[in-house]
Amino acid sequence: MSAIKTKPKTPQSPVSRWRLWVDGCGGYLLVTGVQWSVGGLSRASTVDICVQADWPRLAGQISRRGADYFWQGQRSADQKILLTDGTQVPVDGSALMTLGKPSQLSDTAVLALNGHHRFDQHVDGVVLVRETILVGPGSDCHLRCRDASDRAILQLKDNQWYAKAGLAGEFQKLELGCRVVIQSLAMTLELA
Amino acid sequence: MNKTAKQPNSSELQNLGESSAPIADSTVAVDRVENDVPEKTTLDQSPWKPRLMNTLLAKLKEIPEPPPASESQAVDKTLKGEMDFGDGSLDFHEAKLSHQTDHDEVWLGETQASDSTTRSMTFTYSPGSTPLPPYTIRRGVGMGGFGEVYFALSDAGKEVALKRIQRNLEIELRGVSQCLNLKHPNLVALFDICRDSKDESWVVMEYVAGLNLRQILDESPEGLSISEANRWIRGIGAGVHHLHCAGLVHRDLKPGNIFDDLGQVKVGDYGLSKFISTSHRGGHTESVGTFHYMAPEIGRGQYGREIDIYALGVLLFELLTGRVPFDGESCHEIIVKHLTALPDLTGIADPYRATIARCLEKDPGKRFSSVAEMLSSLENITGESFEQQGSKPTNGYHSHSVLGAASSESEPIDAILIAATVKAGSTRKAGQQKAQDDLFDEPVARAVQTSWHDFHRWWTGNSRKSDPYGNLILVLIWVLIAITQFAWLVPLLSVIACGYVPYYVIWKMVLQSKRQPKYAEAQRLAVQYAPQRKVVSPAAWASSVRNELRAKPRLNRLAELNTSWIAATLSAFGLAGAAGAIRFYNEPMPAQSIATYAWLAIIVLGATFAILSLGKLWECDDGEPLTRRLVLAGVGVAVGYLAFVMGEFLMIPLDRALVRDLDSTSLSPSLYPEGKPTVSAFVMHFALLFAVLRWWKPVDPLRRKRLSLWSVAVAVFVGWAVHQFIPIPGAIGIMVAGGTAIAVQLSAPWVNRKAIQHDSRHNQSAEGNFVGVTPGGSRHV
Repeated sequence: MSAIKTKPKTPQSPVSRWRLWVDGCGGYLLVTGVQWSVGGLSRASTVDICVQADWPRLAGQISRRGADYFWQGQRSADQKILLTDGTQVPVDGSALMTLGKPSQLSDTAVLALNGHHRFDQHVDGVVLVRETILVGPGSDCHLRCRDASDRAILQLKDNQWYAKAGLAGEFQKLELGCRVVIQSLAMTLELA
Repeated sequence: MNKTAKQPNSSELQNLGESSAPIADSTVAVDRVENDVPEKTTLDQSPWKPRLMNTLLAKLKEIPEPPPASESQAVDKTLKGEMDFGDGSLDFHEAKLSHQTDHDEVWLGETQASDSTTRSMTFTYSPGSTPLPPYTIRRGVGMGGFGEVYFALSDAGKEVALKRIQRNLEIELRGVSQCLNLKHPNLVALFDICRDSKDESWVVMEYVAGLNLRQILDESPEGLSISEANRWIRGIGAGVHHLHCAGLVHRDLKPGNIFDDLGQVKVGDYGLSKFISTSHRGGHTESVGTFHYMAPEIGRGQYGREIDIYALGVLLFELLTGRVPFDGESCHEIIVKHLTALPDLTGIADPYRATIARCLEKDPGKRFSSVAEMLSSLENITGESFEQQGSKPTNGYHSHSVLGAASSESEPIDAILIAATVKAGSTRKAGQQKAQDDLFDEPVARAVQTSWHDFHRWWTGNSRKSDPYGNLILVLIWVLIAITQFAWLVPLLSVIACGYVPYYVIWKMVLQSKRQPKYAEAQRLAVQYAPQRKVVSPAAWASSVRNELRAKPRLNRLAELNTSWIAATLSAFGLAGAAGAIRFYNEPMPAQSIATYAWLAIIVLGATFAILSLGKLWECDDGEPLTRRLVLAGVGVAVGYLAFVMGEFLMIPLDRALVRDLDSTSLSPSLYPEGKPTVSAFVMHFALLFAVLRWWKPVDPLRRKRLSLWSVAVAVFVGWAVHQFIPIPGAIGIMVAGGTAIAVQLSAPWVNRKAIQHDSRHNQSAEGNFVGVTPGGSRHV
């Protein structure tokens, strides 16, 4: 048994981070890369995904291989567990975190917390980005805005976010700190 | 899905009344309604029914006119994103338009019980703005009563919801502190009411992260489960009861005002309606309510706690069925039904039916006098406490008692759960079990029982089963002893019994009375009566293990493949050696035959290596059979080529033993020139052999048996069939097919499902619902 490193970030998988605030929907931390460290909140927290809970400072890491997501716990680093849609990430503690892959069209996954816990940075969920994010009212959307009547597609290109309404719209650049209205959806992107 | 009523358009409103005046939001404004109606008169026979209805409908006149067409178009343009977002900013004009739009959107949206999809998500303030220091707005949350609601953070990071009071509303601050200082876990906490630099009023309140009941019901058009409905109604009831105890009436209970704060039911938007009024009304209070949840006496200006109980009845009905009891195509129709119609309670089981019926009484005096009485009626009818009716909260968090803060005598949840599970079992069985438990706590009885179990295990063990005659002899000896020693055995047993009975009574009375309560007993009960672990189907088990296989690191995979190859080498040469030994059991083996069997071993080894490698790649999923067959055909080509080359190298006479059993037609000269098979014949033979059979099955770790003779037989048969069309010398194809089928099964990893399940049954600490399958728990043999 070998413990995983406390600095899982590698040059091959740089993690870029943004916060996306969607009116009437929620706030989300968008992270790119292929593996992300997960842990509880502490003063010197260096993990990619931080949960305000009684979790270890470094509970483990989530990695993506192809379309599959895997959990590698800190205590059992030699064992990887496949995380399918709706799987609970097996971390000891009171917070329950589940991974969702609502769309078959995108490998992007969303982490959500059940129970009285919050992610750090006051967001409602963490999006493990793989190129595109679907925003809209349907259950197949990564960011589900129940009260919205339209869908939007967010796409990451060259570390720059673009958004368009539905499938037919044209991509427009998402400027940091500026609210963009796409039909019934309004969102603001900022660096995390 | 609940079919909801639409807000009447302006022309309808003109028909309904005479004048119009703006009101705050989607609600019906009722102030100073005439109250000269005889209380005892029933609605159906009342001569004032039309008048009362008209009083209610008259309030609809006060709903503002829609914006002018040009303004509406501008608003639409904003909503549909047709503005230039090149810079991504939202200018003041847009903000202003959206502000005006809110006016319209809110009342349109909130009078609809479930359809909220047309709402705009355009808010006045954008993220990052600080209209009310020290709070920084992060995003808009929604449109609540009286105005926009934002999610905001204080400078210290406190998450709050800011409600901006809009549309010329003024807050009567006198008396508001009664609302602000209410504390209850089922109420959304109000922190403060502040004014910003523009003299706009803001309500600072607790931020609720979860969904509201409207959104949850929209996703469950058939209603919630009984346990969920119980959880909701209990949480709502506890919050409303606390309001009533504080002397307040909610007056606007509806699913949109009730939230699931990650497992905790919270009632919001309470109380403030009494203190918020339009400026031109001179401070007259303004009643709020949504048609579907509005009690009939509101038309008479009665705002007692009974209107909340009425709304609770509607909510309970909707929780159970997914629809409201009184619905219609127009608000007119809904109001008439509230006044006159009886709810259709068919399909709702007791105790809910009776409770709802009483909540929805037209006469408020006939309803429950309090929320506590309403909830206790559910308890009384079912004969068990309300907590036991599936009140377990979600996410492992304990909900509060029915009466919330008013009642602190609720049992600990664990005790309730144990009691409930014990109660769920058979009473007779429980009684018997209890007697047995008491008895076997006694040391002598426990020793006798243990000895008996040991004897029974020995008697039914494999050693005794294999020796039936021995058992018979033993029984005869015991019977003989019992008969011959009857004279002293019976008195001895009688003396023992006579001594034991008083001993047991004394032990029970004296020793037991000194015994401290054992928490272990509670644990044992909980374990004993715990729901049985779900025995998963083979398909579900396979899916679970398949997921584990997908999670296996590549290095482990490679190591396993390496092990399999070693095993395959041993198997292939072992099989060839065994075949040779059988063939030349009692005669010397010529050198040419040794070469033939070595040739066989090499072909089997090559085929096994290739199949094991592919199997390792394919073990993660079920795969596409056609694709796999094509790949296997390619493997067959390689094996055929290998067979031909090695045959030439070992100087095997390839033109011998091309005899076929069925097809006696002449061999194709292109494949068999001069009666000797070419490399093409070998390639075609093995390509066909590998493409026909599903070779990924024998190497699948989830196969039923480690070594299936049926698979071997099928392989041999297919090898024989292929030999009939494209023969190769010495029926080597048949032997390769059979040998490969055996070798791959012996070499490939195998997950023994039965063994894992057996282990799991004996492992009480195993977690999860799967029997025998825990992460990393699959055992490869």
